[in-house]
Amino acid sequence: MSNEQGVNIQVQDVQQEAPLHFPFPLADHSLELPKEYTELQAKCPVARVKMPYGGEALLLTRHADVTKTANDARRCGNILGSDGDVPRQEVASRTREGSLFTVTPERHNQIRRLVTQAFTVKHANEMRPGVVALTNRLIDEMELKGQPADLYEDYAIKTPMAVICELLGIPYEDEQLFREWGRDLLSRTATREEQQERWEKMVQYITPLIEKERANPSNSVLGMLVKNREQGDDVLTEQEMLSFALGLVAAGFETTSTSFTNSAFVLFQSPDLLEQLKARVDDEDAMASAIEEILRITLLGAGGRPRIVREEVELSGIRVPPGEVLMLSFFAGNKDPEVFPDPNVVNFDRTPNPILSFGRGIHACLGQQLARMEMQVLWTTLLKRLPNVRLAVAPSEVPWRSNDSATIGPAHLPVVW
Amino acid sequence: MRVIAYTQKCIASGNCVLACSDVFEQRDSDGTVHILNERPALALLKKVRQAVDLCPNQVFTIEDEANQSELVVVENDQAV
Repeated sequence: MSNEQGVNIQVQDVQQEAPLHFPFPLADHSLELPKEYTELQAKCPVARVKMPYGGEALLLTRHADVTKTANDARRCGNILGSDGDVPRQEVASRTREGSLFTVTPERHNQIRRLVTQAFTVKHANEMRPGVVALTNRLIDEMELKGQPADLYEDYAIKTPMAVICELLGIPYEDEQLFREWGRDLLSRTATREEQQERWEKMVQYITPLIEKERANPSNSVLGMLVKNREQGDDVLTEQEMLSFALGLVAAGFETTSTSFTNSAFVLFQSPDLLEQLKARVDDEDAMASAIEEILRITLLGAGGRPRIVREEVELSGIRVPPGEVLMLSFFAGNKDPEVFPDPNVVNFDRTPNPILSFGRGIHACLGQQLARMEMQVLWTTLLKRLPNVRLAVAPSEVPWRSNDSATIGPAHLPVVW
Repeated sequence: MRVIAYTQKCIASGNCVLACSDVFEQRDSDGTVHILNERPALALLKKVRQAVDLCPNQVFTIEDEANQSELVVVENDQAV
């Protein structure tokens, strides 16, 4: 009965005649999770899918499997340069040696802890009054300029951009540059050469700022990194410092601005939910609970996060051998009925609400408490100041992002009030 | 029920503080978990349990779960 010597590839094939093509397309002007995800979640939790640039991967859609995989950095690691040309979502692999995603888990924790003091719940709350003032100033400016306004350009992107610039200690005046970095970082079509060119430009930009920190250290995150770099390669290599600092810039504004804009696009089409949210603007805890649910249902991207199996792992009763590429769908996990009863019902009081939107495991989002605070303030200020805010055009007329980006949703969000 | 926080695993996400700030806080130095109250009131059991479940890096382990008449929360700085 034992199977030690036998065929040990127990991976079920998808029920379909041929593997589905990944990522699954979204409907036009829609931020609904494509139905393929929930169908696979119910019937085929470890599903073989065809990747866009060759090869196949296994798509995980259940909360338990996604969590297990993300939490097991030893058995299921990030893809490294030494893994070669593995199936992926982008034209060219974006693996970079010395990034927080490619160092060993031990090294990762050591480096991450150099700056975690700036990303605590307490520090996010200390930054809150400044963000409240900022969002109110942005609404003042929108009112001065007159209707319609672009809620993405005039509000959603300016808030996280100002927060990350302050936190890192980089000049807000260069925000257009940081946006380019963000776009490039998320591009699915950038070649290896284009990535390298961009990297060199970013290093050129940040080098004088690092020199300034060396001469005159500040309490910013860049200052913390530079100070630790001075202590030598054991603490932080030059490459690790650059990679971390540059990664934080793009990660710091793109995700939050997209989360807010995409949630606004959805809520403006659900007057009932918008009313429920308005009723919470004077109750911070009730608003925090609602934002958690908004983060659960707000789709930011159409793909998944890759891992590679290093040691055999069992997922939903299926043994997966080393070498397989796994695609973790955090957004599908957010709709798993095993964990979220009535997953399609938006319930602002959902408790517990173990969302996967910030990832799981050692690479879980560093800025998640800042992002929560910013989302809470963005929604509270908007609904307090402009309670009649609504789309200025039909949803189908809202300008949409090009589909070469890993993030999806409106490129602009025209509103009136 | 006994909850052990393996502090070396902690990635300072702060989710335990959101779930139950009467028991958990983040250290000022690096944001890692610190237990404020090793013997919290039993009324906090549900919130402590949520903190355990919400931790993105599974920093906590639970022992003696069936015994719900006692609640102990401790730190352990050994590597795991």
